[in-house]
Amino acid sequence: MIPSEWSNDDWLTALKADRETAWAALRERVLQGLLAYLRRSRPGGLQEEALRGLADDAVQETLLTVRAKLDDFRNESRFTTWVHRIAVNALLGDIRRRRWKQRAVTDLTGMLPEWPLEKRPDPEREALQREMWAIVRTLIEEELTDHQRGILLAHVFDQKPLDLVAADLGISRDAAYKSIHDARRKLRAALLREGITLEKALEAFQG
Amino acid sequence: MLKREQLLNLMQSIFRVREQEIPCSEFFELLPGYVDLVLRDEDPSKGGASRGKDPSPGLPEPARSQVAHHIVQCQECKEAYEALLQAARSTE
Repeated sequence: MIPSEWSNDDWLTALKADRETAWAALRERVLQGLLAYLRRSRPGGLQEEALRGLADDAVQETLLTVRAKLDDFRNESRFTTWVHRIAVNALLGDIRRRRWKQRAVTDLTGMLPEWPLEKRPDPEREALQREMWAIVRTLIEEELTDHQRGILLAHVFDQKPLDLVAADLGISRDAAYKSIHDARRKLRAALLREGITLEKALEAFQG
Repeated sequence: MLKREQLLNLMQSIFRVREQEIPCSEFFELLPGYVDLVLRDEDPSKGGASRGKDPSPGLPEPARSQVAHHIVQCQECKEAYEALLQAARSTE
């Protein structure tokens, strides 16, 4: 039995000594944490059995990672929170990969849509909304590099997971995020030059 | 195609952008400490990050505000934050 108030040192000592009860307790703790999240968020409307399968897979991966990285823990948080973070990464990565199983390779030459929303513009505000989108669209096409625009299109407009976009392009997730960051900076400067503030943009696009 | 909320979020992310932002890898390194602080703030009587025999590790500025900013700028990292918060909270 593992006391709920175990310190980081207690956990590390027990796990490094390969105490079976400690690994079992950690496994159960991670599993319960993931199930709590999954039951609340219900990705893809999955039922209990499927959620359990997702959680079990993530727990397995997590314990392998924790075993390999015990010496990397820097005591900058509770040990169990650090472990939960590894578990959440494993779980969400799996969920996102499943969503994109049939994915196409990221196309950096994709075009921005004439109208970006699933719903048509509000009839009473159609002119304003179309005018605002036309400006934003033109700036995205003219101000960004092909690389920045391609990543923005894939990740923001196609909602492709950033890890998968990065993998398609043979770059790191951080590099892909940096491209989006650079794109945002360019777009903000360009929008402000056009006299468009956040308030104006939100007012135009709000329903 | 986007939902209206996603388009609004895109516009907000453009105008909220800072000159310097932490990348996702650094965010993930700092996230556990940030979540500990959030949980402590939710219920200070339990001691949050200092529960058990551990000293409170804390998360000094500017790291704390950098993590908070990344959460609003990166939707996937926001999802990870919410999942971690839920998982950690449920096993208190």
